[in-house]
Amino acid sequence: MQISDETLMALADHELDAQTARRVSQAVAADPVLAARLARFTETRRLLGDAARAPQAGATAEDPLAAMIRASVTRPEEKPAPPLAAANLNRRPVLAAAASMAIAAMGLGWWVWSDRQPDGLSLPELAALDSLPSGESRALGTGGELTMIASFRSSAGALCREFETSQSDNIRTVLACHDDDGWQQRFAATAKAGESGYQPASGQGQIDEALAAIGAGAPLTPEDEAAALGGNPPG
Amino acid sequence: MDAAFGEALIALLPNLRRFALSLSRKPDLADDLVQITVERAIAGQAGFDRQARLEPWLFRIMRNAWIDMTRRQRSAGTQVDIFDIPEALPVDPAPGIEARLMLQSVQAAMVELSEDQREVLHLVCVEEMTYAETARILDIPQGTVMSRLSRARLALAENLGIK
Repeated sequence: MQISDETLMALADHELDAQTARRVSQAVAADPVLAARLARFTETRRLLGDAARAPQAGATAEDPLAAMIRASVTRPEEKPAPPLAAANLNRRPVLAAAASMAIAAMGLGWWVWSDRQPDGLSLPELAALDSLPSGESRALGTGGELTMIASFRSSAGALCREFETSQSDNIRTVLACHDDDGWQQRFAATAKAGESGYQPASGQGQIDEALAAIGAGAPLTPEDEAAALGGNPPG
Repeated sequence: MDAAFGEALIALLPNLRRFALSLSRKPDLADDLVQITVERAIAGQAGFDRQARLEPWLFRIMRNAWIDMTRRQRSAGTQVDIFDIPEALPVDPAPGIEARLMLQSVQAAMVELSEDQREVLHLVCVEEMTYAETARILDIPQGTVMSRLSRARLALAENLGIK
């Protein structure tokens, strides 16, 4: 009787219907080789289960998030509790507030800055696109700050970069791709800091869609990014 | 939010931390991931079918949050991998040395696997999700869950020297 690894695994995981389970169990009982193959699946499951049941560090104290969750329960008429500590993701300096932001995505609208280029990218932004490594920020001449988020390759192989600029209480998220004519803005949305409302992450949906639209792969590593930028001298 | 939903969520925080650590392998990122998941769960609880189990719904939220985070992770500076500092692993120093060593070798063997394999292994073998639940959490066909899980288990068995 030929029994696949997946069938043996399903037996170990109690995923077979009763009739099949009985049939496979009988075959295993009659064949030490099958029994050894089955043991690899039952053993790995048992060991991982043991690992899961091992005490976790700090498990004695109640999770700080529990208080936040209960607070949301007792004040159902209010908005969900604001998030606690900021993450260490580099988008948080800008979006730390972020959690308390009503995202007013403005599609392809962009700020009218005095030095705005026809394609929607200002000269300092173009300079940053050419040279600023992801994860780093620099001041813009206008009093704002620009943070480079990440670089990608589009499905067509073009270098694309995502960055954020903050200016007073506006945060603009921009995706630009480099083609034969230089940097082209592919997406921009502006989030406006709100009073107290908090937008759980869905505000990023649109940049996610924009990245999907260009067929962006995983973010480039710092090395790949440096190499890609080396191929696009400032100009 | 009703209190029952809140308490159910609190009861699952250890499971969420464990899955977050399995996905990110970095305690600080895992903390962020749990928090984001809790926030999204609270904000999106209207979309939860009260007849369904809460775990798969939460794991799916966490998995999607993790995908959002990894898109930006590369630019977030150097992170310390928890398996480079074994003393930070969540183990109880009191129980037997042997059990502790086994636990560490299981965790070390997990690291040898690909991320795809690790997450399917964690969901089924640690969190005891069914194949069907795992398929929905990961948005992949059940057949893919089974083939990936089977390869992951065999690789893990090999790493651990299980014959």
